Amino acid sequence: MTIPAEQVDYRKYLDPRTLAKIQALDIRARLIVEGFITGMHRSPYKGFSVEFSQHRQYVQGDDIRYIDWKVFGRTDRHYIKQYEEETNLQVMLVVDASESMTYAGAATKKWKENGDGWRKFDHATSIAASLAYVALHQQDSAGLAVFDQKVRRFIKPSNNPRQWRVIVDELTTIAKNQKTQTGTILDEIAEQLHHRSLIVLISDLFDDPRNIVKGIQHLRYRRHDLIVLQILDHDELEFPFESTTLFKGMEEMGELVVEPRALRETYIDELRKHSQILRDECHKLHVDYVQVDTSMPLDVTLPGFLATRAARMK
Amino acid sequence: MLDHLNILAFGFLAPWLFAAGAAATSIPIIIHLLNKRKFRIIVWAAMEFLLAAQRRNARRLRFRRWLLLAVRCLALLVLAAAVGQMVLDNTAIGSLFGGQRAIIVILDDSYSMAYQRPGTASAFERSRKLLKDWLGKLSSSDKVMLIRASRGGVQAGNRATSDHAGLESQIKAMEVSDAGTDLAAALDQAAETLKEMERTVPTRDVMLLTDFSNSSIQDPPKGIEQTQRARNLEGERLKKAVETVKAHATQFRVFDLGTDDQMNIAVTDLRTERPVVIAGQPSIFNVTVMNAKQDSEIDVPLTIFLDGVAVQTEKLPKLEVGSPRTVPVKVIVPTPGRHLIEARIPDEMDFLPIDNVRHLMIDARREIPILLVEGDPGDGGRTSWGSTSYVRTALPSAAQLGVFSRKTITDLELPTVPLEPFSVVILTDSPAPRSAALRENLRKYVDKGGVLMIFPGANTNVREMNDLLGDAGIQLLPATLGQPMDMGTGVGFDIAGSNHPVIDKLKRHFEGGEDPGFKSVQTMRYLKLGVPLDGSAEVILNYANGGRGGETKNDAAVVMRRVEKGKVVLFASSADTSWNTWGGKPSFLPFMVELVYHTISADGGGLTLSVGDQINLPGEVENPGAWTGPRGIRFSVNSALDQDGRPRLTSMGLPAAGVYGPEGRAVVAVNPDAEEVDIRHVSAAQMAGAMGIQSDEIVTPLAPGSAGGSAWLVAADSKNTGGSELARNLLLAAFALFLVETLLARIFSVYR
Repeated sequence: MTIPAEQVDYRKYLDPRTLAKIQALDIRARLIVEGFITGMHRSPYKGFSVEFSQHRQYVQGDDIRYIDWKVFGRTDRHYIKQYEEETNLQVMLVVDASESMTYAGAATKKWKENGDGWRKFDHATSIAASLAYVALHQQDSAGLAVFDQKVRRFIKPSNNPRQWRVIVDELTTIAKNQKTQTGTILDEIAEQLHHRSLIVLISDLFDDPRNIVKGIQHLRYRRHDLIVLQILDHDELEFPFESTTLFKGMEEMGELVVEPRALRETYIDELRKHSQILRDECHKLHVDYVQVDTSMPLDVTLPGFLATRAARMK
Repeated sequence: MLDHLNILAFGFLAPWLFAAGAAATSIPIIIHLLNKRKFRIIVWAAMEFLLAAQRRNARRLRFRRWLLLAVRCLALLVLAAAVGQMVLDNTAIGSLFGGQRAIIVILDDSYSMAYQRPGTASAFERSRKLLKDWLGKLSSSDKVMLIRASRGGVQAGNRATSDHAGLESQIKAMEVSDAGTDLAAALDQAAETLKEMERTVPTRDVMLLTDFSNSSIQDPPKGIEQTQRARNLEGERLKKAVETVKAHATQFRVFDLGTDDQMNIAVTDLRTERPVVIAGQPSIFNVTVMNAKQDSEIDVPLTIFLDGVAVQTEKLPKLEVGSPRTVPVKVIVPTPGRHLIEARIPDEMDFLPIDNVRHLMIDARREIPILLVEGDPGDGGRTSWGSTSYVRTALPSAAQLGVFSRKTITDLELPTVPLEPFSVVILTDSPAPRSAALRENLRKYVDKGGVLMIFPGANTNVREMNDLLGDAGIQLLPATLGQPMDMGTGVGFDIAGSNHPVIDKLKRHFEGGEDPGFKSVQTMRYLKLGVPLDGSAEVILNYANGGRGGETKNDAAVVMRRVEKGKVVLFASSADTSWNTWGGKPSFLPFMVELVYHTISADGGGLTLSVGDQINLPGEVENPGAWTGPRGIRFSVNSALDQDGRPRLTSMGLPAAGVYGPEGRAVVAVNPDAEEVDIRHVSAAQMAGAMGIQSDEIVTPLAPGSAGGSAWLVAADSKNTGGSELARNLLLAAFALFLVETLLARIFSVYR
């Protein structure tokens, strides 16, 4: 017996534990989007757009985040701000496929049948595919750049209905083995994009923050809008290890035998400092920065991010 | 400078426990090393942050790791030291910072310290080893004085010395004495020395090493003869001695070297029932055996040896714990002269053989010579056989199956007869000797141990007797002679009122039997005797004349006085039947025999000695020269003239129990102190109570034989923290370190 589509709770597909069990990225992305859409009262497309359209009377069920409080102050009535669906927006998804993105926390090993765990790259590609799907469905153009120490694949933005399949195929087949050169990559992408675009950088950003910031500055200089999604595994955020451990660094970072409990606090502090630099610099450059924990459901990450972004765009 | 190296001297009461604990300190190191080898592997992406964290923390982490490792090792080491009863020799520290120090070591070398179970060392051997080790750890500036605590062990002129090597040699050469413990005497000498050092030596410590035997703190039970040492331990003497020591010492410690299993059974006395032994006649020897074990003993075999040959063995019935049992044993000594009597119980009975045998050297004689002096020779039996006739009958000769040899003379012959060969001189109805030479002769005779008996009679001039022999004369009379008392039909004796040993013995003989003849004795006349009230005379027998003729008290019938080594017995009535009927009554004979035995001096005087006594014998006993004794002791016996110009044999104090004499001959027998027999171990609380000290001033061992080295001794040595106190502190320190370790580990996030 087939369950009617309207009876399926797509929101469960926002949980990485569930997504990990779904091998095909395209299906995974659609489920994310569906889950995402069903989790919102209104179309997300408006939220995704950036151009203001008109006001309308607030009705029950509207998201109160869109109430225009300035109008309320003047008229003592509730009005909702509506935005134009931007049809000529170019969304460029820049996905990090370096070796460090292959890290999957020990806790995620059982999420997938093959035991690889839920890698940061899996999370990144899921987000990228989802965003591409959303963009293409609201008639925007979507492109893809996959990089490690150089841009391995560059797909120009297009609103062709087949674009999404191209992007998904690319994300699925890309090899991931090299070191990261995020700053240089951003410079390179800045040079290749001639139209003003919305660039979504999806990476763990394990690189020198100064180089990353330089790259972002370059993109901003070219008047690109930028969203930075830093993908981190839960282990990387919490460093929950107990016993003596030999850490073999990815991307030729060497080895280290440590008593994790003794280093935990300092490690977290180092990571926090790194993220804080990026967060501060992004803030200065009016770039959205979101840290994504791969163990958290996507409806925690994306709606929050979109709401923040929408608020900033008012 | 070398002395200062000693400041780190320390030891352990339980070194094996410490060794085990010290080995355990390697555990954290091993764990640390194993942890370095054993780890999980993670391929890690955020390596740069980890490396940065490592760089930031490298020194701190290394410090933390080493600190934790050190704290863990130290905690285990301190715990091991606590379990191993570590003791620090702070004496050297004391000498470094506190000036000179003197230690008086009182070592109990009484024979109970020789108690030795098979396979173990005696307390004395352990003491020697401890002291030897301890001496080796002292600062060379420390002065040490060694006092022996056996009776006679205290030596005049003993001084504290820094010659530790000399002391070590002295201790090495020391042997356990056969004498008993005399802690009080040793403490007295310690106190004297402490007083002398009080102004010059700032630190004065006293250490007493003893086996905590019961006899060292308690007077011996009734039936055990005390030697000449004035013990009176229970009479606070020991407490006073300790109190004096503590008043002048900076520290006083008592070390318990004894063991709880100490027990003993011993022959504590061997003596003749009579003062003399007559050859060929059965003699009673009283043997006393004391059971100082934990339980009563049954059928203890007691063997009597005569000149080394067993002559009699009998099994003693049940011997209760702590109560001496005296057993009479009948032995016939065949020939006159010196003989060695020994009473033995088997050495297997206990682990202290020294007191399982007791010696008695006797000088058996053929007879007891008696000189009878007649003031009234009688008329050949027509009216009288003479004033001595009844006495002569009462003291029968060997031919009459008696033991006496009698010589009868008149009072006129007395000045011409030498008195010394006679044990007893009996004057009957004799006038007072008017010759000063005779009186002097009589006095000398009594002074040297002779017995003078005086019976009054018709020839007695009361005033003359009092003047010449009484206090105004040669002071021999036990009482003043008074006027004759005429009692008409006569008066009897107050037997019931007398408790003199002579009368007691007769009472026992006739108890429940026939009337020994006292009741029927009638005395018609007697001289009223004025018995001095100063206790110098003892009344043997009274007349039962109280209430008659205005007398409220009974008059004395027989009075005795000790004069120097001899005795004088004064009768109130005549020896014959002119004034009384006693001579013809059955009681007179046993009374006179018992009176003679009671009053004459014992033979063999000076032949049986206690350990430490010196030989002091008449010159004719043996020749001076080289003598030998037990344990190969060789010494010389000298001849010296006494006050009367007669030769006497003298020697040093005899140090060991056994038989001494010229090569091949036994002349003198020496016994160990019987009062030492109760070697049962007393508790620290009992010892503290007896000495009047605190229980923490008593240092007890962990276990017998566990005192490896001098650590145990050093534990309570001056300025040291006591072993147990230090161990307690170390234990606390170990727990504190473990607490610190846990705290540090938490702070360092080693534990979550």
